Amino acid sequence: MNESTRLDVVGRPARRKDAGEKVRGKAGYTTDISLPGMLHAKVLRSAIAHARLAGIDASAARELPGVHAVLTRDEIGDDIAPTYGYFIKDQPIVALDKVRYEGDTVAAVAAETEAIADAALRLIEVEYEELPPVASIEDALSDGAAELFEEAPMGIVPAYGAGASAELRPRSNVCYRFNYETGSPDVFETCDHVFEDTFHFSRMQHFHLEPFAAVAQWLDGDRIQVSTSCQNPFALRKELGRVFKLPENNISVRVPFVGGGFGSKNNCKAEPIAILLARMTGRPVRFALTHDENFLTNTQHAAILKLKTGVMKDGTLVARDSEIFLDSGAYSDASPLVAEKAGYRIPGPYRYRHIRTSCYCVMTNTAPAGPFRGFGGTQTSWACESQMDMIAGRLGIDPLEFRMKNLIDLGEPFVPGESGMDSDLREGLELVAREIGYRERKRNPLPNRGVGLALGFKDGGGVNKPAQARVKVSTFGDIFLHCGTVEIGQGAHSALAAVVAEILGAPAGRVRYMPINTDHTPFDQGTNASSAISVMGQAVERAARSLRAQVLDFAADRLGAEPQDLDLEDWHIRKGNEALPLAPMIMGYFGGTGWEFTADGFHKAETDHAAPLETQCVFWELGWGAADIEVDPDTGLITVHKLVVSGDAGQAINPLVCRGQDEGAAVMGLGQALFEEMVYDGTRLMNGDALAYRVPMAQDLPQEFVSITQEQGHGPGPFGAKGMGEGGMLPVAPAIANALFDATGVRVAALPLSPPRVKAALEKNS
Amino acid sequence: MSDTVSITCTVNGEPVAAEVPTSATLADFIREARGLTGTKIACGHAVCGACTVHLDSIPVSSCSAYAFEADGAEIRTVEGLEDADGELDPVQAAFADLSAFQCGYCTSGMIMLTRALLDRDPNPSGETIRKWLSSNICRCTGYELIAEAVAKAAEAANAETKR
Amino acid sequence: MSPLDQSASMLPPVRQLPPFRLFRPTTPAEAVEILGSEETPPVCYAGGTDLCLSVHEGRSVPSLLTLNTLDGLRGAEVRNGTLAIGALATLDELSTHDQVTAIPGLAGALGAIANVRIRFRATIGGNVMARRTAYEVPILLAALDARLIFESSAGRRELTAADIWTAGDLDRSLLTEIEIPLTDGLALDYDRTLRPWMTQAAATGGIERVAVGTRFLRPALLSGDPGDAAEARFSGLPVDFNDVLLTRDYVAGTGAALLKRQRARLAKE
Ligand SMILES: Cc1cc2nc3c(=O)[nH]c(=O)nc-3n(C[C@H](O)[C@H](O)[C@H](O)COP(=O)(O)OP(=O)(O)OC[C@H]3O[C@@H](n4cnc5c(N)ncnc54)[C@H](O)[C@@H]3O)c2cc1C
Ligand code: FES
Ligand code: FES
Repeated sequence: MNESTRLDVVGRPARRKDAGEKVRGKAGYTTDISLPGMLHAKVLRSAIAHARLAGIDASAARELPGVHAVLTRDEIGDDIAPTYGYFIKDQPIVALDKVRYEGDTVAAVAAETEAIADAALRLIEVEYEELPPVASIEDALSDGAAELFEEAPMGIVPAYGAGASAELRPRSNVCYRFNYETGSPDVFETCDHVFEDTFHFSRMQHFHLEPFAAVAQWLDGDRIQVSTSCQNPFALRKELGRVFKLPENNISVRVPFVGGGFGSKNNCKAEPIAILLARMTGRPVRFALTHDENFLTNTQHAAILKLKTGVMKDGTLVARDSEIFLDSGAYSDASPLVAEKAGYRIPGPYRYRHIRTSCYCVMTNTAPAGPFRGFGGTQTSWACESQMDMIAGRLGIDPLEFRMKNLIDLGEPFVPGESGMDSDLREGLELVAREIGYRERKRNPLPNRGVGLALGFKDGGGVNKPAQARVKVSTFGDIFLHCGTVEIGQGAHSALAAVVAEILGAPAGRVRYMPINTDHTPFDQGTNASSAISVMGQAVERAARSLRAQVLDFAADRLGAEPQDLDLEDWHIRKGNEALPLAPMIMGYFGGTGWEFTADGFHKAETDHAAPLETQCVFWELGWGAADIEVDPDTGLITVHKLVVSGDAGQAINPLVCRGQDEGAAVMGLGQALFEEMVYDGTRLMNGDALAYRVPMAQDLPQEFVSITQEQGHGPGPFGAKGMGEGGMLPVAPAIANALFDATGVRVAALPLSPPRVKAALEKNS
Repeated sequence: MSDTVSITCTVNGEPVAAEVPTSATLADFIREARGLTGTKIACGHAVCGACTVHLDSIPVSSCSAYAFEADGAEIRTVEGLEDADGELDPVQAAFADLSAFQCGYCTSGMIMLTRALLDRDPNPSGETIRKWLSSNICRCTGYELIAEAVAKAAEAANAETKR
Repeated sequence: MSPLDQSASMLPPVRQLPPFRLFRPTTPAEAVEILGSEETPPVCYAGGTDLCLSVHEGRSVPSLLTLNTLDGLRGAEVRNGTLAIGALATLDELSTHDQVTAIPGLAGALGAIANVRIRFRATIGGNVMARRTAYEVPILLAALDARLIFESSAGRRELTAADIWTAGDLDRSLLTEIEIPLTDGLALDYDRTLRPWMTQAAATGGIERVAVGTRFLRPALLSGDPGDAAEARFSGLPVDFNDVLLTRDYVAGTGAALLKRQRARLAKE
């Protein structure tokens, strides 16, 4: 076997497997599903941020012709667990005792048409008793702030390894705190300087184009079948089993194409209401939220990050102590997991002797925050990379040299017990610095123009993530790939199919990625953390290799040869100069109906108590960025003349797909840097619709936009591949803020870098 | 006055006569009455362009036009671009070749927008391409590959006509 | 802590309306007659690019009056010292219309609003009648001292661009035309580089008229002698001209800086 030199499929800019369906308009999404007798669901939401639910009267709505069911807290019996969540089960299917944000779900209706459901919602009378609202992190932590949860909801803290720990509800309005510590704090005493800085991070919405949607039905009264736009069908199945008190083999979750998610489509979203209404009505129910409701369902975490960093005069980093406050919104959702990651990633890819962090999930009366591309890494890269330049400036060292001095080496563990760095960080940084013309520009600065660098960093591949895959090949060499990685746009189906094709010596077109249905698809923890290639890829690779071995063994038996003398080529056995078709060999042995070879592959990082998060990180995801910007001092407007981003794919399975991932991520980062944000006035969202909420359009691209896919080859995935898709977002905002400092000597430590904010900072400085 | 209106139009060249609710949007008509689900609904209020179709050769958001407006009109959707043999339109082929899509939810709309551009200007400048593409939202790709696909589609179509 | 009524609930955006009565008048007079005689006035429908947003926001549509079947109310024409623009003219049409060149800068400004797809459908009248602070035509029209001509069964009525924010109910009126007086040397410069935070229209021709728009505030109109210092123009900016995105100080300081550039550009014309 010498795949490493062959690579017929991997590494080519081939058409993706889903290209035909997607450009023809034939790709099926959850919103395209229509079942006979299907009803439509709509929900009533609270317009008050914080209130006790004094009463609900839905009798008039129930009477409306065409209405089949109205769901309020009164319909929730003992046969279901009324709340869901990741670590903490605090989010009710519909409001029970209280509402906790403007947009919280109060009631749901299933009706013949959406228009009837809308009309029915107008007939529901709700009595609220208003409570003092908690609008922000500062509000929530202030003395005497109202409590969102008077009693602690049920929750768990997972096992952590060396140096890491967490607590539920360490204080009022904080649902979770993650802590990490390594080395002795005494080293702060030895530092020449200790710098303390605070950074603010604004909140975006994922803005996936396909809104949350689920179509549910009950079969035989006790089996759930749900098609949904979801990133983690198996985790969802488990949670649905808990909520509906059903065995998991009575729940079938199917996932068609998903129209974008960027993190939001994990765990329960539209599903519980669709399922409950389907049970109440005995009919299939579709609950497709509108796009505007996305803003009320899941968001990124706004954050305040306080860093205290100790350094030596010569620029050697010594210690970092940090406190991070994440605005988790009204329900915990994935906040504890994001806190874990933010708390863990805040040091950045640098060497220290002491690290201590605490990350708090702060509850506020705003929309729940959850996983978002970067998963805490965007927040931490913003703070860490901004402070790197600030410290370099104070020490009079060039920011590039300051980074180079402190970066972790290739192969060096991130922290004790961790896996080694699997990219050459300096190589990547040098690459983007050269592309932006960093050194020349630093020597010959232009007025109001500046260049900045940043290095986004996160541990990739998820924590303790098991994945399983199955490959089957029929008599004539048709390949079935079964695995649970959802095609959400990232091109995973094509990449995983390419791995199989490569190993089985088949053209990529022979591989079909089978539809995802938890009844048949092998287990996968979820499509997130850029894990498709790095984790599932390894399971797929093993399945394919095992299948290849089976086939070669079989052929060797039939031919009286040794397997190592045989090779597999387009469903022929190559033996010396001969190419023998497999189909007749198979039917000769198994009979005319033929046979199916089947093999499974499994992957999971070893559990390891010495690793802070209980398993070593699968791979390190980097995003190197550089920006050349100009600021208009009269208006505060930043123009990005050139943006460079680069990721390390290890080995690109498909170069165009890698490029698309990096560019898409970078443009999301550009929006975050310059203008995109959920604007709250107190607890009221001021721009919760697609027109008012501005996302980057083609016209917002920098004049020059360069993305470079590195293939350093150190990844753990098949053929040295690493994950992609989040890294490109991380460095953009800090690179631009650093360029702004370079241009003006003014540091803006809050996002977005909007003209009013930038101008105010410039004026304050002058 | 009744709750429905009758319309006659062509959809992808095929004559259609239908009775539709007055309040049905053009998207409802295309997706539900005609079963052409390639036209996607995202924002639902004219912002994102995922639902872009051609109404008498003008690219419109079908989520925010009414079906009654189709009376007497020609409607073209993404399903109407391939030729009778299933050969892709150059725009579709370029999007496929350059992976100018990811999740695919904006893709039908982007392709219809591009088709409308090339129908008016077979040789658009880079600036014109960017201006037109700024009509629709793609959250996945960062637009660069889409812009390249548009340029490639124009080239391919021009090479075709020269031959 | 008082119990509140049902208005404290939020209805979801409406994607699908119940069937409505549909009116398809062919003349403006017929449209005006229907608007005046129906018990609840029908909702006017032009390009629909804003109407669908207001439907999402919960606007009820008992009946709809489409303006797209009307003869006229399109195009633009210079007559009697004014530029008269039909309310149903689309932004696309106006951005290349030869009569619109009577006001240098106007066609370009209209052609920069929204995007290509929207401009094919969006009408100038719809942009005004949507009465949203984030929309830009009212800003341009304020700077140009335009008159909005309405027809209703009560007759013809003229409003200024600023009046739309205070005029109250206009449900039974049809906006038919926009008239801009062509004063000597009239030219427009519209700076939207700072959108969505603020945009600014400056018109010369006799007195200088500057209109400033933001996302959440009604446009401010500041006028005076073109010889005034740019900073002085903003002294009249209302004291409470703040919103969640910007402060009065920002608008005044930035507005003055923009105005200097606008004056320079206009002088070059
Ligand atoms: C994606 C997008 C981007 C946009 N970007 C911008 C932008 O950058 N700048 C900007 O200024 N605007 C922008 N807009 C707003 C857009 O310009 C307006 O929606 C459009 O001009 C409205 O015109 P319409 O013909 O579509 O109106 P419609 O939606 O048909 O009507 C709007 C309102 O006006 C009423 N109405 C319409 N015509 C008349 C009439 N003749 N008499 C009485 N009432 C009438 C209707 O009843 C309705 O209430 C954008 C809109 C979208 C969807
Ligand atoms: S769905 Fe029609 S424009 Fe967004
Ligand atoms: S491909 Fe997902 S929005 Fe464009």
